[in-house]
Amino acid sequence: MWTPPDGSHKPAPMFQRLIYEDSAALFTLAAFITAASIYCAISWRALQMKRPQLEHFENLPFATETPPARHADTAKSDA
Amino acid sequence: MPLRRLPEPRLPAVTTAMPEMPSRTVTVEFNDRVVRQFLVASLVWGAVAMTVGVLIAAQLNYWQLNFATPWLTWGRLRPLHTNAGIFALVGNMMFAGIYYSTQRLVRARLASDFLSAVHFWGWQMIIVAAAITLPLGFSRGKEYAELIWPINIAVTLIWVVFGVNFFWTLARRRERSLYVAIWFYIATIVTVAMLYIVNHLSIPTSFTHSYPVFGGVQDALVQWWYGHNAVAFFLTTPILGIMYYFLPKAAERPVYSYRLSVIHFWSLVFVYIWAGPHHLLNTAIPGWLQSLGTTFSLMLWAPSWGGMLNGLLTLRGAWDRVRTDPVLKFFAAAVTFYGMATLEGPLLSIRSVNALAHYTDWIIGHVHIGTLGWNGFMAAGMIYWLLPRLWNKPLYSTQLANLHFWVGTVGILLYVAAMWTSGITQGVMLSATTEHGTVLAYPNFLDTLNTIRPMMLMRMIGGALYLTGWLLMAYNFWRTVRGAKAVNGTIEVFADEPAAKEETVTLVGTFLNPPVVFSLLGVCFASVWMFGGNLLSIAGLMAMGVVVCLAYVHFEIRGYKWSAWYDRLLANPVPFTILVILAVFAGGMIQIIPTVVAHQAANVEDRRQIPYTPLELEGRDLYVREGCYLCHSQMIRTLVPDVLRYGDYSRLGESIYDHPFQWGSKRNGPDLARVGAKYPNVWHLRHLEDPRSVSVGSNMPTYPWLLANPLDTSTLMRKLAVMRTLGVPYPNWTPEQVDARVNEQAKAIALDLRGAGAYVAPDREVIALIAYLQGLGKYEKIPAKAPSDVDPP
Repeated sequence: MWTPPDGSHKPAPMFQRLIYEDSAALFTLAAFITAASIYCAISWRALQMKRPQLEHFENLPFATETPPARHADTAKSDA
Repeated sequence: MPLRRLPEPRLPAVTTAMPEMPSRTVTVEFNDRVVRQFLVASLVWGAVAMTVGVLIAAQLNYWQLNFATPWLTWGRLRPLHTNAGIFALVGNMMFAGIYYSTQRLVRARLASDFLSAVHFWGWQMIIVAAAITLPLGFSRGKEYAELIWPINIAVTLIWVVFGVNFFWTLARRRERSLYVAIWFYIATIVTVAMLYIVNHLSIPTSFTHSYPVFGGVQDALVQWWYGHNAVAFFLTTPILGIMYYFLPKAAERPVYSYRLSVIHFWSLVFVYIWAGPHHLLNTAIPGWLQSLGTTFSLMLWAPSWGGMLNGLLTLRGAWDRVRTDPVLKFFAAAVTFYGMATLEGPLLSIRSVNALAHYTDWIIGHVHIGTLGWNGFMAAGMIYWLLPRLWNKPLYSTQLANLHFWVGTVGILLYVAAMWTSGITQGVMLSATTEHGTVLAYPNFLDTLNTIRPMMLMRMIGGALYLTGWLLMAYNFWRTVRGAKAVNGTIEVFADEPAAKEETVTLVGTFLNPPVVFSLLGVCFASVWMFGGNLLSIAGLMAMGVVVCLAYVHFEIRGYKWSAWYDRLLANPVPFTILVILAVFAGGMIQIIPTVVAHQAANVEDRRQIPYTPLELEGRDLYVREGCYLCHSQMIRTLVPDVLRYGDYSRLGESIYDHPFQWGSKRNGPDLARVGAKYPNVWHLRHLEDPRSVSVGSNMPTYPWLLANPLDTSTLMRKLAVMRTLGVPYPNWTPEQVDARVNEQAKAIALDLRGAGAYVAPDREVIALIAYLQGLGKYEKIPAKAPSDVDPP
C-alpha cells in the first residue's frame, strides 16, 4: 500500500488501487511485448507462404461445387 | 470475371478401373437439414429479439408501455433482448453457416446426424427456457450471463455436443488442409467454452437462484473478460469464418489475400482476449489493468481493419454486381460496418474518450453497429445466398431483398446516429461544470435524460425500420420455400478414399518443437526476470537473452524445421486447437489471476464494505430480479464530474462482498453507489410505487407488485451459507436469529414509513428493497495497513 513520505497512514490517493499494483504494472509491458512478438512472427510467416500453397488454400471454398442460385433463369438461358 | 486460378478437378465423375486407383466413386450427401433448421430458427428468433428491442426502446420514451406488469418491465425484457440477439439470432445463424461451410471445406458429411439434431433441438429448448425465465425475473444479475444455473449447464452440454460433432467431422475429413474459416470456428468453440464456464461458476441456493463465486472487482474483471470476448468469439470470429467462406463464394473469386487472413486470425486470437478491462476504465480496478485494456484495444485496430479490407477487396472486379445482387450488397455493407465498429471500439477505449462515452448511449450505438450492421447483415446475406440453394428454387423476390437492404441500412444509420448524438450530448451535459469546475452545470440527472428524448425516439424508429426489413426477409423466405422441395448438397468421392491423415503432429510434437519450446522458455525466464528477487531477476534476464540468441541461431541453421512444423500444424486440428487454447488462456489469466489470488479484504484501500444484513441481502436479490443494474450503476468513477454528482469515488473495498458485482454499464438513471441514507424511506417507497411522484420527468417503470408481494425468505439460510462459503464474514446464525433480524429491520422500516404517512406491511418485498437501497455505500474505515482479520457484521 502506498504510504505518504511522512509515514502517516492517510487515506490512499485517488488513483492508488491494490497493494500489488506496482509490480503488477509490469504485466502490461510483458503482455504488449508478447503479443507484438507473436504478431510480427505470424506476419513474417504469412509473408513466407509460397504462391502454390496460397492458391491451394484460397481455392478451398471452390473445391466443392455449389449449385447456382437462380435455377429458373439458368433454365431459361439454356433453352 | 474468372477465378484467379481454378482448382484442378479433384474427383472425376466416372473413374476407370486402375490397379492403383480406387475403383469407383460414391455420392456423399451433406447434412443440410440441420443447416435449414438453424436458418429458420435464426430468422424467427431474430424477429423476436428485434421486436423486444423495439418495445424496450419505446419503453424508454413512454414508461406507460411497461404496463405495470412484472414480466413486461424494461429491466426484465432487456436481458431477453440481448440474450435473444446474441444466442438466438447470431447463435443459430452461426451454427447454420459453420455446418454448411465446414462440410464443404472438409468434403465430409457432418459426423453424426444424432448429435446435429441434439444440437439443434437442445439449443432451441435453451432459448425457450431463457424466453420464459428472464421475463419471470430469474437472473444471475450479470449482463449477457443472466441465465440461471440449470440453463448454464444445458448451454455447456449442448456446446460440448456442438464441439464433438465439429471435431469429429474434422477427423473424418477428406481435405487435408484446413481453410482459414475452420481456424476461426475452432477458436470460437474452444474460447467460448472457456469463457462461458469461468464466468458462470456459481453456487446454487435453489433451483432458480445462485451466487457467482467471484465478487466485487474479481467479478467485474471476470464478467468483462467474458462480456468483451463474447463479442469477440461469439459475434466476431465465427462470423469472420463465415465471411471468409461465403464472401468469396458470392463474389465468385478467392479471398483477396490469404496471407492477410492468416495474420488476421492469429493477431485477433492473441490480442482480442486481453482487451476486456477497457469496459472498466476509470473505475476502481487497478491502473495497470486499465492500461492493459487500452493498449490491447488500440492494437486490435490493425488486424480488424486488415480483415475488413480483405473482405472488401475480395469484391474487386465484382463491384458492378453489388448494384443488383442483394447478397453482395449485404456482405459489402456488413464488412463496412465491421470496419466502423472496430474503429470505434479502440477509440472508445482511450480513457478520456471513455470518460465521456461510458454509461451513455454512445456505447449502445457502438454495440448496435456490430449486431445490426455486422452480424445482422452478414446473416441476411448468408440467408439470401443459401435460400435458393437449400430449397432448389429461385428467391421469390430480388426486389424485396433489395428493399430489405435499404430499409435496414436506413434503420441502422438512424439508430446509430441517434445514439451517437444522444451519448455525446448526455456525456457532455453530465460532465459540464461551472464556477471553475466546482459546481455541476446540470445537477439534476433528469435534465440530461429529457434532453436526449428526441434521440431516443429516433432510435426507436431506426430499430423499427430494421425490424421491418427483417420481416420483409421472413416473408421472402416463406414465399420462396413454400411448395419447394428441400435439397441436400452432394459430392462425389472415391468409395475407399481414406480420411485425410498425413504428417500427424502428436501431442508431444505439439509442444516439443522449436517455436513452442523457445517461446515457452522465453516466457518463463521473462517471468523470473520480472517477478524474481534481485539475483533471480538478473539470472532471469540473462537466461532470456541466451534463449533469444539460441532461438535466432537455431532458426538460421534449422529454419526449415520451424516452417515445416507450422505447415503441419495447419493440417492437424488437435495441436492447432491446443495452441489456440493456450493463446486465449494466457491472455485471460494474466488479467484475472493476480486479482483472484490476492485476498480481497486485505488488499483494499482505506475502506471495507459492511456485509448486508439478511433483509438487505433479500432486497439485493430483488434488485437483481428487477434488472435495476441495467439502468443504475454502482460505481463512482475517479472523475471529477462523477464525484461532484454522486459523492466520493468508489473504492475496491466497497464492493468486495457483492456477488455478483453491480457496477453496471449504462446509466439510464443516476448512480446508486452512495444512495443509502440520501433519501428517507418514504421517498424510496413513493419512487418505486410511482417514480414521477418524486422525480418529475422520470422514465422509470412503476413497481406496484413490490408493495403487494410478500417477501419469500424460505431460502435465506441457504443464501447466507453460500455467502459464508464465498468468504463473506456472516456469523453462523440460527434460523431464529435470522428471522429475528429480518423482522426487526423490516418493522423498523415499516414503522418509519407509517410515521411518514405510508402504510406497508413489514413482510412486503418493497421493505427489503428499501433496506438494500438504504444500505448502499456503507463501509468501515480501515487503516492503511490492511488487517489480517475480517470482523463479522
